[in-house]
Amino acid sequence: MKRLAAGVLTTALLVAACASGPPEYAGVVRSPAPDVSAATLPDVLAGGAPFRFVAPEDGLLIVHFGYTSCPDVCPTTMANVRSALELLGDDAERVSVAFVTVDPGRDSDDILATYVGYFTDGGHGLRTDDPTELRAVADAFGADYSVTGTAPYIEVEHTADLYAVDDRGRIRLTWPFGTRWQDVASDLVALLGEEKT
Amino acid sequence: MSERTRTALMWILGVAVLGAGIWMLVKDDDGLRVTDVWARSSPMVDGAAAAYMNIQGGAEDDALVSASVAADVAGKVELHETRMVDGKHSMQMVLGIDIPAGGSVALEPGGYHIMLMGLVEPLEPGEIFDTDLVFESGATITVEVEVREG
Repeated sequence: MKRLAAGVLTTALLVAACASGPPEYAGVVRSPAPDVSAATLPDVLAGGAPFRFVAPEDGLLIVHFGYTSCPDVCPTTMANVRSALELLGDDAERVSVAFVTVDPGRDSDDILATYVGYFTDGGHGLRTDDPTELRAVADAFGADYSVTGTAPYIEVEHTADLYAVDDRGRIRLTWPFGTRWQDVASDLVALLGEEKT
Repeated sequence: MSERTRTALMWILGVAVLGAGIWMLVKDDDGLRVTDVWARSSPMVDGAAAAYMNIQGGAEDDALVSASVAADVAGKVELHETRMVDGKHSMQMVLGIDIPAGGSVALEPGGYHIMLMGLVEPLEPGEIFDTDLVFESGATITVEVEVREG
């Protein structure tokens, strides 16, 4: 049923895209598109190997900055990503997902790996103990965060946007928190259609 | 005691218990109604999770002032609000969530939520656990929280 729905959605969007020129996205197009291809962070789900913020060829990379003890915004966003990818059906194989922890003090490699593994299949859990390295990556995305206080009263603030990066490492779309997952799915279908051409 | 007397007494007792139950229900919830109660599943032991619901106000202005769960669900429960300041999201503990008379307040992702901290076990989809809600008026309501995939 999901595959049928994905097929119908894909067809409808392709028709819409052909009929009316450039597609209208739910996500925000930033101009010029920020280039994040130079950024890397260790991937806890790949033994700490450096991960480049570049999508697989003709695919997309979805990135979110958060922390695992975030009960509201982060799991809502990650669950939306999962729902959107389920709707994409087979095309979901062209989309990879990366979660960057802004709270490496509490998010150990193991905790982060469990968390990312729960929401994604083959996702990337990115974590560094080097605050300068983390800040540089966040800056490249235009994301911001702060972790203040001492346990157990730690307050984390973070940009809750979701980013779609293409295979050249350019941010194609930025979805603000609260974007419906169905709209994220529509945007992904449209972007994947463009990537193929 | 004859069989008839015993039967009569049982009836009286039954009606009394039923009446008391209805009276408690009316008195305790003060017209407040809580619906669509759910929490997002969480893979994390010792982690945090959020519970959401809709609360419809009763005849008088009221406020949700606290919530609690059994010790085998989570170590601590607080009322929180997610806010966005300068483009960044963060959570603040709140002392109460106003429930206006005749109005309706949604506890939903990105807004108010009941924050469960120190989960004893991961929350698995399909599980149900009780949460006691305490209101400023003194009303208490126990709701069943359904864990949904998330």
